[in-house]
Amino acid sequence: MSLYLSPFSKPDFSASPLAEGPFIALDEAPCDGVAPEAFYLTTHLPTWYHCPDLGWTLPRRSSLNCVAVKNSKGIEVVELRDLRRGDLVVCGSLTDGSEGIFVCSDGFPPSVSLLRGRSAESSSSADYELLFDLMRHERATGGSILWVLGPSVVFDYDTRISLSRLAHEGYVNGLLAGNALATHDLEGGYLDTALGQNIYTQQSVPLGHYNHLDLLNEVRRRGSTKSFIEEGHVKDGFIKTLYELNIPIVLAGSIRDDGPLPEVHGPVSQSLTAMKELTDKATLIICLATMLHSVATVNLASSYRVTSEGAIVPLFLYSIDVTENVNNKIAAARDHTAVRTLVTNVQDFVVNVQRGLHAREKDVSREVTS
Amino acid sequence: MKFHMAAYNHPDFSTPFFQNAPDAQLVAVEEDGVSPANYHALSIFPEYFKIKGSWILATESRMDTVCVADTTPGAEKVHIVEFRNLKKGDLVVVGRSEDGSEGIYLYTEGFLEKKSAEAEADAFAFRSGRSRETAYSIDYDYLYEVLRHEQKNRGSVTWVLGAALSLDEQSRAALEALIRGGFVNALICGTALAAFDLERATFGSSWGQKIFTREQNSTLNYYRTINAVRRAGSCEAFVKTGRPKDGIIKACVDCNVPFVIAGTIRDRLLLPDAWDDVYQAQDAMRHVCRRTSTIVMASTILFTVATGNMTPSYNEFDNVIRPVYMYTVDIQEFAVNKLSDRGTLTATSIVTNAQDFVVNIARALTDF
Repeated sequence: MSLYLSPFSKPDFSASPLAEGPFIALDEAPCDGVAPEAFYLTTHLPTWYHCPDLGWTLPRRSSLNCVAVKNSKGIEVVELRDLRRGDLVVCGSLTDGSEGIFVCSDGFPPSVSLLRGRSAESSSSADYELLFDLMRHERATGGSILWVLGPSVVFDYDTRISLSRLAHEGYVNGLLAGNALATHDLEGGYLDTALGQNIYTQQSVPLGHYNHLDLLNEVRRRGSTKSFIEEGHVKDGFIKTLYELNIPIVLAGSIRDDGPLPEVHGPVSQSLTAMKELTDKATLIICLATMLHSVATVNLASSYRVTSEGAIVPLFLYSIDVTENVNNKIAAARDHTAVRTLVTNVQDFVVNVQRGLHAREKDVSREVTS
Repeated sequence: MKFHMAAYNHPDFSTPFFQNAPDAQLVAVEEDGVSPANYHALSIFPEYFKIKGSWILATESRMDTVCVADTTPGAEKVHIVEFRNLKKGDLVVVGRSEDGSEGIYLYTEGFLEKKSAEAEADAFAFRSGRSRETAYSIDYDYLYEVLRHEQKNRGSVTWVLGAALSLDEQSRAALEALIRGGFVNALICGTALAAFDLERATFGSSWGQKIFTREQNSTLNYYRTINAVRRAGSCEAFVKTGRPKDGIIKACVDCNVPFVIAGTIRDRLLLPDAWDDVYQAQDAMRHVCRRTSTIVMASTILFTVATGNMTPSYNEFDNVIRPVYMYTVDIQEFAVNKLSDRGTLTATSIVTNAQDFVVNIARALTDF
């Protein structure tokens, strides 16, 4: 795990000019959900705040496009919409320490950064190897692997099975998705179809276009996906597996949804709060084939975390999409830090990852140690 | 190409088959938001329901929803309702055959014109496999005619737009010209389009840059803009402070063009006018779509699919049934073809950069 062992080079806060640099400037939120005009907008990178009582302080995680609030606990990274009137918000725009804010963009070794210009022709073997190492490390050390999935992964027979296997093997600790992923996966488990076509042969079944609507209506009749599964209506599938293994799922609503399933969050503010609970726990994030959810997640996720031993380590995020534009957006949002992008069909990706990890498990000579 | 409004012909309901067909079977909703089993789901095509002996055409339709009948004698009506909006006691049409034998008739030939030379090129023919190599001149000319017709005849043109259009100076100005020229009757968008537009109007920057050099630079001005609008209370109140100098939202406010801003999970901070709840957003969008006669959707897969699914392919305006013209524009073939994959067959799609598209339209229709 060379990437984890490489130390983060912290700036020297005991030396000039940071040691005697100014403290943060604070101003009150004028009303709920509104920041003072000169608020500082946070980044996902490690950022220290110079507080009179605590010295230079690094929050355990950060997030893009939030504000930093000073309270008795120290510095808290808070969503603008969650500000309460009177909250003390860090103000400023310079990040070199001259306003008490220091963003460290080059603390990680260069290997943590993504090479630019990844395309379908780029070799991805090394990215797969790193991913396998990271996944095995996180599983071995009680980390949390968070998956962000678009619906295409449950339209395909092999992919859907591979996802469940990965969950059973301990490589899935949380899911962020939308109404469509859950609906179509449950449609597969309920009626063997995806949007009315047999999930394996893709033969259309009679009146199959009703299937996803019937699924939604029947789940809504029961009031929850859990009771629908417990009543035995779902033979198989990823959602069923996650329910059986008690793995948390956050389903965020979108304006495209039919239904929706009872568990789907309608307000986007509620979705984001629930999603962030999982991104804040995550030690590895894998985003597949959903521009909406991938971009939303990359905006929420810190690019670093502070371990219980106090080490600053990268929080890797993988983005897999057949559209290079999606990967480029993700990489740009993360300033190419602690991010890897693969341009491929996610069906192949999931099947390959499951088989690759499986092969490694048999090969003890490659066992990772915690 | 000369524009001509396709005429609609009802089926001949005087034949014995239709006369003898049973009324549609109705079952009452037992619990809000849940339909009786075996409900009939709507398609994008004209559909008729036999209620108390008369065949009633569903207007303001929407695919993947159900039909609720109002059986008030002498005032029989049908309403097309989303599952989540069903109320206890609503009478839902059940039955899954569409040939009239269960009092439900789906009609695909209402707009077909017999032996018309233009029938082949009619916007209501199925088109498949549109790509970057397709020739679009004829589609542009037809669209100009449609937009002129709507402007002259007080139609309702809804534009559904992605953020790329407010990131480019020319396309932003082109849209402003189209709004001021009366070619935009409603706008559906996300916080990003509106906030990038207001950022440019207020700070003179996009992504914090005066000149566009990188896809992403600083979001500080973007968030400061949203913060300032939240402080002001609404986009309209913010425009009236005089801080935004130009742009799409200012033109909408100046010209009283309604806009619906729908929230998405990509929005960390919403404009005060935006709908936080996506299902309330859908209801607000459908409110606009119910009276839309032409819809142009550019550069946003999410909003295009969402709006495409809730916009009927036909509707009734001043007691006349006419097509609803639908255009989808995107640089990705995948995006424009997605609507036809989903069964929304009546859209004309154009594969291009949406910024160029709106600049072209504005140059053809206005002094821009």
